Amino acid sequence: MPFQQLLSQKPPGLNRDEIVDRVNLLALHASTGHDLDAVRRLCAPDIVCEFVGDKSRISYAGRHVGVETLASILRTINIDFEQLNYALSDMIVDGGRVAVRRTVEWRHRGTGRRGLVELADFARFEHGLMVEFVEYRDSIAILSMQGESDAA
Amino acid sequence: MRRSAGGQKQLDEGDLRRRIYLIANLRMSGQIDEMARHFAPDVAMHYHCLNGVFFLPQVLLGRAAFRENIRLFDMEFELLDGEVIDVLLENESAAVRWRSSWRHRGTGRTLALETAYFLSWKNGLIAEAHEYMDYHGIVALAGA
Repeated sequence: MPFQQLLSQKPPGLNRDEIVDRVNLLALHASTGHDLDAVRRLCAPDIVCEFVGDKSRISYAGRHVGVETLASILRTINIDFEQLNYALSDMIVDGGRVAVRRTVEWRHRGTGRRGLVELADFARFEHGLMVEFVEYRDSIAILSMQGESDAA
Repeated sequence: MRRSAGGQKQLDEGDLRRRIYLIANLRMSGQIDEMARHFAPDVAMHYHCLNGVFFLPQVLLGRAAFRENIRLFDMEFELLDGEVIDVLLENESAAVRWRSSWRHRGTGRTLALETAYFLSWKNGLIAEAHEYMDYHGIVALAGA
């Protein structure tokens, strides 16, 4: 592969409306955990995903590669938490990149504690598939729901 | 910069991108008054992921309150370094990812933090901002 090709960004292969549709679909399915096949269908096999946070406290915090890894993380989160009432607050689409602000109501299946988790997501699409995903999440709310008294 | 039919200032994508990097540089070099001039006098600053911890309220209204909040934060934490790692622009809105390194002035602990900002401009100034920061990391830095 020529060096220039490595540096150049590949086309998203989607228009704005298609990107918005995919983001909504992924956020909904990933949140509810009912359809991880949608994640596999809409993400590149070698997707790079990152969950911003403290690795010593949040097991999946950090950078990961591969759609199966992402599906495993989402499945793990859904084992611990029930996720309800997904709401999109804001979306910015810039070419093949998108940034989203959203809220999800979480309930920890062990402690029963509920809370509103605020999330900011950044994603990039190439040839119709999501190739990069970065999520900023409310670690304090999540740890508190898990019953970790020293979360904050 | 151009003007809308109503005579309001409108920034193009080049202006917005330059301003974002300028604001980041002003923050890093400690020129807070100069930085605050890019925010509207009645700017609404929303701090997410807080959940009642720390001394910050979840929303601050006005440039003066925003400026004072930075002063309080800088009393406790020293900004060591920072860089803009991503900028997305659409109309007069932007999403920015910023990586910064901080040292707590009491404990001496250091930490690299990633923060996301969603900014919207009105009449040439930032009218609304939403910040997403890993406050869990900041609390740990303070040794709480």
